[in-house]
Amino acid sequence: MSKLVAIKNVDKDLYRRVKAIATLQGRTMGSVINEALRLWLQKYSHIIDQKWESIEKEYERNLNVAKSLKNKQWKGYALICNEEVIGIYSDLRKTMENAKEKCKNHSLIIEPSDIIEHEIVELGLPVIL
Amino acid sequence: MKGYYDKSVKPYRPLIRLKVFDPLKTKHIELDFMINTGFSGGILLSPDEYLKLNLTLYEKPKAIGKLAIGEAIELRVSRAIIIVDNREIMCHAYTFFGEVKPLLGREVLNKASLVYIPKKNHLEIRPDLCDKTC
Repeated sequence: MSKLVAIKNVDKDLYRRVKAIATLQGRTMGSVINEALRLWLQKYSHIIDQKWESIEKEYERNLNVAKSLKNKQWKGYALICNEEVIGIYSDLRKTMENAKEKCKNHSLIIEPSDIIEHEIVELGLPVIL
Repeated sequence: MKGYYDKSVKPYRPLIRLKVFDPLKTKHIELDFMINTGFSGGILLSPDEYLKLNLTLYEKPKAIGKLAIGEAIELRVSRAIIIVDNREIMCHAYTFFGEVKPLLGREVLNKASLVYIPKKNHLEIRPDLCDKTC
């Protein structure tokens, strides 16, 4: 593959601003563009993969069901798939066995706190750079 | 359990080959994980590896992944089991749509002891020591 890629219609002002920052960081524009392309792929590549697309739709539907449990009193692990609560179990393993048996592509296994808080994960640097 | 250093890049990357199972231990794959104390989760897998293990069947709501450069990305979260020195460790498994190298993070490392001496080519994870002290 050629190392030279010509791209039309690049916003010159945007390019200048990016170039200024890249120079300050001592980076080439090639490495900056590669990073931008990777970030873009990360954001949109799931559109290409139909399997992931259908899983994503199931996830959204199951998440809506999970959110409906927010104001209810319950303990343990709720198993949600096919847009319904399959059951609430005290044991995680039993919940997962039911997920394998009763759910096809996707299930959510949640505890009450999972609906309220968004987990934040530190990734460090090397994941995409 | 001994790991190794990938000397094709500098500074060397600390890697360890581990078996990863789905949480019911019906499927497994073997991967070289980079030991990364900057990653707070258990393991990070590529979307393909995540699907191979059927981890979408055991998910939690998505998490927010924060990169050291300040970017935030959406992470899928599930559960998995890894085997370290014949000991099963249940941990969270994460993935996102990007170029992902398998990572082993603090959720697992905090359940073990890590010997990291690149100059002596020595890299080791010892879950057994942690049983007595953690």
